[in-house]
Amino acid sequence: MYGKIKEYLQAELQQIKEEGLYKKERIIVSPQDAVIKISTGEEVINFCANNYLGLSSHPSVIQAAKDTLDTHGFGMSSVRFICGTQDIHKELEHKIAEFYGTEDTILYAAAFDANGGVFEPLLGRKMPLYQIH
Amino acid sequence: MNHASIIDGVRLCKAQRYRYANSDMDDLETQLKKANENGARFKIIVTDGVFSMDGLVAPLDKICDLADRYDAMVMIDECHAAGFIGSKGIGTLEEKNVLGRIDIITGTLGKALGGAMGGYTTGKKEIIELLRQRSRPYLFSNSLAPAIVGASIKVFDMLAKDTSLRDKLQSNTNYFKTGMKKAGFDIIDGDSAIVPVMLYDAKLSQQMAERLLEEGIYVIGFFYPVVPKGKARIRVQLSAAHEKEHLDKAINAFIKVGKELNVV
Repeated sequence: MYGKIKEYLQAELQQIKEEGLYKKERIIVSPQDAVIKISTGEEVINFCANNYLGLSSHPSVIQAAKDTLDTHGFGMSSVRFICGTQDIHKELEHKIAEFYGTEDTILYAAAFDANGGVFEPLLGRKMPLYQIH
Repeated sequence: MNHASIIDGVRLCKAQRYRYANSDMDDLETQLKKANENGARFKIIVTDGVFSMDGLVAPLDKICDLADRYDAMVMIDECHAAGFIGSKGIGTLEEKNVLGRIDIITGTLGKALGGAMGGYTTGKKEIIELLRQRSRPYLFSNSLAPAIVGASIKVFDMLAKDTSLRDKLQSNTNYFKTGMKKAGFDIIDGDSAIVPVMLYDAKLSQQMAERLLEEGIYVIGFFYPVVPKGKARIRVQLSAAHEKEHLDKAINAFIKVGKELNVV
């Protein structure tokens, strides 16, 4: 039952707002690009995307995504080790290794997962780690 | 200050953790000595390649020297560098001339390299092989969607062919920084495409960002706890998609709003 916790969560949200830490989301109604259209209808020049190389809506990148939908489908409905590894997953892993001159690459659903999933498998109890703060 | 994902990742593992002040090599050496005194079997130094809030590049050459001296591995997070830092765009490891000396590199496909989603870890083959066996987010999350994979292959092909996009980004960044300095703004002059315009006051950073949006310039003001107290700023991120007219409009809007708010 969604009981007492409702008031608790409302208070938490209120506190986030009072601390000035509440994150609102601005709605964009165009592709990500140098100029974007926001839901109020205005066009603004975007200087807060991580779209450093302008590839987020580059025609060649969009075309490659479309082509791959036709040749390799929409989703894999699987993790990698059951039935989720296609030839293109291996090809991309090799290309990234080639780009860096490293020996091998592993893909993740997000960089958050790459960082979040690297330490536990590699580091035993006695292995110290340096972290900047 | 590391990204939340590194902090979470470290929390999940049982390793003993030592922290050193951002890019402070004396402190890093002190911590390495401490680890040795405590009988550490393996050591790994972890840093961001580019620090996302100030746009500065980590001193990887010095970090690698210390790593060699104290027998430690080096891991870097290249999320804000991959594809455009360094003359070929490889990243901070190229910029700091340490190609081949970094043991683990993590990066994202969700920023410069296409911007959709997905990430990667690249490095020594035993490390990657073990991650495929034991890394929980890899084992228990779906495969990256084929369309993203196909588009990302295209991105790496484009980057291998020429450096025109990173060259344009660099010239855009230089142009913007020059204009802002000339107008009297206090900017952090780093080596990346992130240009923080320092305002120091949290409220002012929000006011200025709001006014700039009214002028058609979309930027975000950052303040504590995202950046240290009293170091509020507007973070400007340049793109190869920007044209000169976009940059001129932004500089002019900064000057107009900056004068209104007595910043310049």
